[in-house]
Amino acid sequence: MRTQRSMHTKALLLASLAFVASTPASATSGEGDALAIRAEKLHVGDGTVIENGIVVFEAGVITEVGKAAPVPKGMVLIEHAGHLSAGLIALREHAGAVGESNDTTRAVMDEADLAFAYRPNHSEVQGLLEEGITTFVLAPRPGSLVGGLCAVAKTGSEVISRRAYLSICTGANGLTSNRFPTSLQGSQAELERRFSWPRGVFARAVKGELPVMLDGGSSRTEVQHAISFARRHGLKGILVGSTRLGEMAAKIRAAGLGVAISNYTPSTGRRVVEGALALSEMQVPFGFALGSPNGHPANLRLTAAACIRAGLKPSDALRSLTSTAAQLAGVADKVGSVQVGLAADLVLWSGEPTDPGSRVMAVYVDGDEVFRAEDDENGDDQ
Amino acid sequence: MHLPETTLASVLLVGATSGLFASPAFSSAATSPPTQGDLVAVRAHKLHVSPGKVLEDATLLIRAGVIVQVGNDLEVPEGARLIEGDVVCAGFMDPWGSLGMNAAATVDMATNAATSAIDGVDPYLHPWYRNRALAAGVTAVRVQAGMVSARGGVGAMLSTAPADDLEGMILLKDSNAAAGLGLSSRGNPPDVFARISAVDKLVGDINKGREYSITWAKYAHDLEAWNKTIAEAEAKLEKDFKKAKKDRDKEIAEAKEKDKEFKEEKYKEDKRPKLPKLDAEDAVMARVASGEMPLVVTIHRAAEMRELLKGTAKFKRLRLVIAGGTEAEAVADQLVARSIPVIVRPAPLGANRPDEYSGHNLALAGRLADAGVRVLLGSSGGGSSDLPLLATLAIGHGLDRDKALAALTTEVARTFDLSGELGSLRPGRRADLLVLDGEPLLPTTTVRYVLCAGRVLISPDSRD
Repeated sequence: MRTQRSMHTKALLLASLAFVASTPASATSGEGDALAIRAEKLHVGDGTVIENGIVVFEAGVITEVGKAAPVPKGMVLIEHAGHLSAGLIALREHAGAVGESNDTTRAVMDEADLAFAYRPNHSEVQGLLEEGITTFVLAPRPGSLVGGLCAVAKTGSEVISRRAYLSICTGANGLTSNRFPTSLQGSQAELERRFSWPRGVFARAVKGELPVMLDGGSSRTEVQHAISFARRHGLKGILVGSTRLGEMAAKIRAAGLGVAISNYTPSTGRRVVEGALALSEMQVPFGFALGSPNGHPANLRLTAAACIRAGLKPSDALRSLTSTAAQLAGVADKVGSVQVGLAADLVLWSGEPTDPGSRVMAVYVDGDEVFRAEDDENGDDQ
Repeated sequence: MHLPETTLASVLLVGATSGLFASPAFSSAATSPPTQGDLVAVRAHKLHVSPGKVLEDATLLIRAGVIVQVGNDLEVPEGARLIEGDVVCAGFMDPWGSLGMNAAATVDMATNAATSAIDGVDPYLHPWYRNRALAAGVTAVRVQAGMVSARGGVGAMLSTAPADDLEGMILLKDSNAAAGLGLSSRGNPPDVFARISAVDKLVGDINKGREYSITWAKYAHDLEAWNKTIAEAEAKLEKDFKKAKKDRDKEIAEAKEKDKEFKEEKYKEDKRPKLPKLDAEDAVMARVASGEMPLVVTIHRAAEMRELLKGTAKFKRLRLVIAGGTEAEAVADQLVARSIPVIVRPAPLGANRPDEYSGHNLALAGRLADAGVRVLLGSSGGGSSDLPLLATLAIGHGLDRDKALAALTTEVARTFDLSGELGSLRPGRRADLLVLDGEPLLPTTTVRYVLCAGRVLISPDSRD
């Protein structure tokens, strides 16, 4: 049924030719593959763009970045007629932890370690790769007051941080009708008790050693409560799960918290988008979450694009999708930018990374090519 | 009015029902009628006349809501309002929307083939959403009742422009007939046997429609023949009246003489053909079978699509349109051969999607287009204002940019018989157009002006 596409841009063709040459180096996995890629536009991740920039990586780590980065003799240089950026980061996602990402029978699971639930070969994880997402925060689904420790996982690869956040629901999302607590007052009392005389992970959170992922809930009161809860106990981390966060931008900034923006949907979309703009205005660091009940990995870029359509600068949106998200997740020393010493998690795009109309042409995780657009006329078909 | 013939034709064709093409004085729909002699000139660096056909540094003239001239060296007439911008293209059309429809009508499961979408349209509903759709560049939406019902009835194409009344919204009151096959209701899909028998039922209904039209055609034919026979007989009687009277008088006299009873000569009269039974549903399906209007079938699974294509192959005039088509790749060659367009929903659907969408893939539009299938993009009632944004997802998953633009403009107009009125910026078309500050279907592009029938409805000053 599939036919070769007749309409091919010059860019794609050029990219394909380069891939043919690179097949021996890129098709096989295994660390130690050394490769250089020159892209028409290389997005470093801090807002700067290098025209015809080269990135060189070896053993899964970036070794050189720049317009005139030296390419060692004998190394394959891929010419990509398009854009290159660091892999995208989703700040909240449940992929690859099917059925193990929550336990609603228990209200508090302070030592639950989401890293144990991660199945890197799950089909949902593959879906993330196809959208250029190379790193994500594996979080428990809402349903408990304290859901456990969020992990930061490489898509299809290993967990790079087992203690990114302690997941806490201060709002109605943590309640169920058939186990304690069943009311907001109950949940407040329980959380106050845990954090006022803290032990274990709670003590670490109060000391600021372990950030929290605070699911505030949907109403304004709930969000307000989450913010004051964080301030009262000196908690650091991010707020998630609400579309009301934009209205609270000033308070969030005062509390020193970051935000994971919820998915854009036709019903909540306007609030989400306006929230992102307000946060950007207040210079509150924010990234984008996935993992809504009906989530799809394409939502990450779609939400960013909706914000751009409403006025967010594309470079700010890309930062939120990469470097800012890495900082918020505490893994900026490993991923999130195209910088020397960081993992070679790279995405080759057909155009601007923040335009959903740009295609993901190839994805590298730790220097290995883990995805390539399947109808790209390259080594696969020839 | 100095309008080309094509314009006049369109005035007669659509204006008859909607009044939208008429002069501003007549146009009750206009909340802010065009002023300054209702002349508007739009000048752009790039003017997408239709997808793939671009004029550089071109001007477009609008009179009385209709495009009258498009070209490179047009002079702007005195008194015309001049709007300038970078890029101009036709307004987007959502071929699978619900904007303006009463919510209960769209989810009604008891609709039948004769249900009219127009009856569920509320011109005073959703002003905020309609404005959002306009601001996103969506100027027309096709709606239907019973979006997941087995028979959705007759759909309509509506304008998203603010209207004073129902008539002011209608672009085409009977754009299509609609049916749904294998669609989940309240989260549950019909079982597999019910699904296949539903296909048979639809094919049977189309056949009934065809027979219905044959019956009526035969009736019309017989009635004509009968009328002719009667007329002839009457003429003959008229002509032979004197002789016949004389003969009759003579026969009466003879009978009296012989003391016999006089028997009137009996004329054998042809029996008048019997009026066939009227049936509103069959009448709609008759229009479908004859190809007078397309049949939009919301269908997703390959097995059901194969059955539908097999069952309907005998209806040579039938114009099928597939909505959804999640597994349509499997029947792409048949869709190409029969020129059946597919309305694809380019929305990211997660794990909770209905059963029929289980094979949902954002690459569908691109793959179908690559196979040569005509592709339209629709919101599936999920919000027409998001359709242009969602269309970018289809592009990012393989759909050619020009084809994506066509999927929102020319292909929609063509599928619903509105090519002469909408979808492109050729003379004679209704002036539904967008003035953009960049290429269409990019998140960084802002819609600066939106014109509907020549009226400026969105402008940089009108934004909140």
